[in-house]
Amino acid sequence: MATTITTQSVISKDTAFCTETEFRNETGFTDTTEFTSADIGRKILEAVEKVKRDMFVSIRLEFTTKDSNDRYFLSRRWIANAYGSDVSHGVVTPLDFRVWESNETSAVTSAYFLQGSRINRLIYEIPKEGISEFDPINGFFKLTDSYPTDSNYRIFCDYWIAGKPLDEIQTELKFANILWAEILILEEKKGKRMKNGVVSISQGGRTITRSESEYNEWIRDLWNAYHSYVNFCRPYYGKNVCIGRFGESRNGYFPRYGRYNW
Amino acid sequence: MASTVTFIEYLSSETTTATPTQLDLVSTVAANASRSTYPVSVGNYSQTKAFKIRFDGTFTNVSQVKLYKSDGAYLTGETIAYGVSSSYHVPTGGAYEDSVADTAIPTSLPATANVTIGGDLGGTITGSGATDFVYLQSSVTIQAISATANSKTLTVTWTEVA
Repeated sequence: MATTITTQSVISKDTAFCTETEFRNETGFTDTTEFTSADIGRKILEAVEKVKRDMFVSIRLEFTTKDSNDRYFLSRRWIANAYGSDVSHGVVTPLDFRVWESNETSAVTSAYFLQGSRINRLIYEIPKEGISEFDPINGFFKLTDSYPTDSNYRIFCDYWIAGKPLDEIQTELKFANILWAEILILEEKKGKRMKNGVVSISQGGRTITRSESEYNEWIRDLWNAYHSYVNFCRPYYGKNVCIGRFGESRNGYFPRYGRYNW
Repeated sequence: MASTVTFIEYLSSETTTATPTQLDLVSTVAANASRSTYPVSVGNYSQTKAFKIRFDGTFTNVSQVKLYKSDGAYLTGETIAYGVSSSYHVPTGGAYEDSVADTAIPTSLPATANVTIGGDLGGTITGSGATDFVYLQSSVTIQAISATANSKTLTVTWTEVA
């Protein structure tokens, strides 16, 4: 004997780190006449690019290292969303990095070099469908059997890194996204009258009349809040330095030598 | 009279139950939740559906309960896993895979029972009763696209002695 029941899902990809509802709830910009959904949606998407530019660092054309399981490893952590890839923010997908294969052995590449160019390879982008698996935490990807198209080709990659694993900074990304979208809206309103003809704005427990300096003060507060999130999330991209004498030094016994403990 | 079968869904506790009309895999813990309101985002798992299959009515015994996906194709990057346990656990999802639902659901009628009764694949229900907890969870990898997934039919078969 048998019985049945159905199951179904909807699969979504987030286009921003926050939604319009989250934006309206957090900011108090609930007036849909003054702040239309289309306008807020556009500002949120513009703010996403700003957030990614401030919080993530791009790594270009890095040669990868392949292990015996055909995993191509990237040297840096943690992998983040790409600039300009307007899909699936908060989750790293194959659309968030570019993989290239390089031909360094053909006659053409020799010709380049003989012409005096320092470029001695031909590079081709591997399409996203050629990326079969990606592990953003461990920083490796796999390619399908079709790639690289020649076993002599080397693989390199463009990718973006954050200071912490992406799933750990979802909240910070969301708030940064909201804050920058709010700044964009206030900047727009600063030089204009409200649509409904009034000259003051009252949102989130704060009322200001149409005065540029008051707008600027509000924007500055938001800017500071935004940058506290940026500082928390962005990668540390430099060398540690020590201040102090030998007792605090981690370099070694001789002050003019570099560190031992990389 | 033959047995009557109902699905009993267990929500955030073993005592919070519902009778679902569908088992849509969504991103919240609720019975019959709207799949468009609670989509599963790429790179994540749906919230686990925990349910039992309950047999009532007049029969001598029920055994050999089998669950499989009889219809509906997966989209790229989408898979549904199941698992069976005699104990309840709170549904998990998002970034977390369910600890029990870790086996891909069969796509044809299994040769042997795959849903336990009283912790035993060879167990029987006499009079009336339910199977152990079945956990169902979908996984949506980063390869998936934004889409409404195909509807899948889950079929439960059993052997009944009238």
